[in-house]
Amino acid sequence: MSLTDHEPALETEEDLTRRVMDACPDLGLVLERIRPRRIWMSMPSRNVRAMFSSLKGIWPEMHLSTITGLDTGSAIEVIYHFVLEKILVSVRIGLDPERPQVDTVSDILPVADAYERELHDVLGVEFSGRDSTPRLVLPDSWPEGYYPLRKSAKGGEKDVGHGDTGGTSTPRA
Amino acid sequence: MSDMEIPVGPQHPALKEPESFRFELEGEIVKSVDIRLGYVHRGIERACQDRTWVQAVYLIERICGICSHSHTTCFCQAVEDIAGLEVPRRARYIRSLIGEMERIHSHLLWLGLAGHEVGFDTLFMYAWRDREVILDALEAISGNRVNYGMNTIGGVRRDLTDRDVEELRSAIRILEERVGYYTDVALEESTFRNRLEGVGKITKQQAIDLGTVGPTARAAGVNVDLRRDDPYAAYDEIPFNVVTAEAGDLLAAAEVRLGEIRESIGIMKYILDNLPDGPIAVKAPRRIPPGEACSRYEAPRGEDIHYVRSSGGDKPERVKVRAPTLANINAVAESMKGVRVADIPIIIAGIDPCFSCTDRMVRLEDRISGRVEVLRWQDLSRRYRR
Repeated sequence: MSLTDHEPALETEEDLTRRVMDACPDLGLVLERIRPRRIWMSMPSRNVRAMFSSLKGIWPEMHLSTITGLDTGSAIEVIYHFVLEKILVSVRIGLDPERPQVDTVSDILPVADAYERELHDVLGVEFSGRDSTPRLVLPDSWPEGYYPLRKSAKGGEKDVGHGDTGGTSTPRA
Repeated sequence: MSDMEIPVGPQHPALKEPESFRFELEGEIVKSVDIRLGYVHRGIERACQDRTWVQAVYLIERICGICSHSHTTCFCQAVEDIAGLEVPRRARYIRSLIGEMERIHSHLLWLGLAGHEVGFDTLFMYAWRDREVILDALEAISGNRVNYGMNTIGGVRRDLTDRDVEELRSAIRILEERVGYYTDVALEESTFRNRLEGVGKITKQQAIDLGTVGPTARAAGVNVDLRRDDPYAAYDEIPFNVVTAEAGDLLAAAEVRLGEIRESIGIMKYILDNLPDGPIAVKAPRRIPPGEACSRYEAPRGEDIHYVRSSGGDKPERVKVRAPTLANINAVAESMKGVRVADIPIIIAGIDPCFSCTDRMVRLEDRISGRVEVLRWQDLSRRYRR
């Protein structure tokens, strides 16, 4: 049975989907759709770390392209975009907008550090397991608890002060 | 000797854009570095949500002054994917052509800056003079040296005339000769070599682990190039080689970028010889049907990725941009460890950082009173108009 109705044949994508599913049994991974060189999936947020650990074990050269976050109104959605065998896999999780929280993956994939900090800045997603989540894109003096990409953020001109504290807020390299 | 901390930036003569580095030194040797981004964060992702789909294209063009075409192509592709638009073949070829011209002028800019950072200002002046050749050609085609405004949802906005093609061919002849010369100079001139060899080194494993992209990754032997691995525009029809090196130092980065300029010239020639006839755009609907898509683009600095979601309206629901420098900044931090202070500027320049891309509001601070204001364009023009 074909996993998708799309033309042309997407055998490589279907094959990779099966192998990803096999690598992450019991993690609640659900296929949403397959497009040329794109696989879209979703999963419960509690299993994110387990999924990345398993995948990293099988594909040590996996590349995390970025992490997207968005406020749908009813949930905070976080989408991990990563590359396996030249195919971009996007895995979606939904978080409670009152208290968006998910485990960090920055120890498994170091590049995630910057992406997690950005999401914390703009959407207020908490990444548990990190020592700290210092500001990345917003000034240090930006008001606490005001997240510019939340639906509740109305924008307008706000005096947010000057953000220059001279680089006190990044982890040591 | 006690440890010393030296702040560099956010405003510093050695930085071309505002960014803050705090170096912890032991004598002349860098022990670690703190990097703080965000000084040119302008809230473009959010601003896109308040603009129509077409207006968003123009805003996204202004994420970066160098790789503006990269960002708009990446965005338009995502929107076209959601809307199911089939971009005409000729438009796909023109997108690739402008993309390669952008790559050439970006890499020449880098070569000049690299020359400047190591005290070889003749190379800087030559490389930037010859970069004008490609900028003039871009101006002839698009009307602009940067921010070309070529892309629109569904294709491109300007066609190539026969005269443009002729002008491009003569530009290519000049560039081919000059790039050959720079390759000789950069890779054989011992003063330049000695200054770059072994400096800012990362291993292939580090490049993979740190999520490095583009020429920075290829210089360390990671064989990735989205034009080949995830082809877009006309790259599935165009023959070219992916240039890689092994050493992972700045000399390898120079080798890779010079090799890429030669490949880009080859791609331009192929496009001019094989430019298909036909329309240059299909009409895009004002409202984009609900859906989401992810588009990737091999920008001059590496993988550019845009995530776009539509809720069926005339404005995007969400636009997410991850520019290549954010992925490469980890590599800078890593390669800084153990280097000498004098190598700091060239290592930062080594990844060809683009912080405007990475940060994506006009804020002014009155240094005397300490008052901070966010100014709108109207306020600015009112205040400074004569």
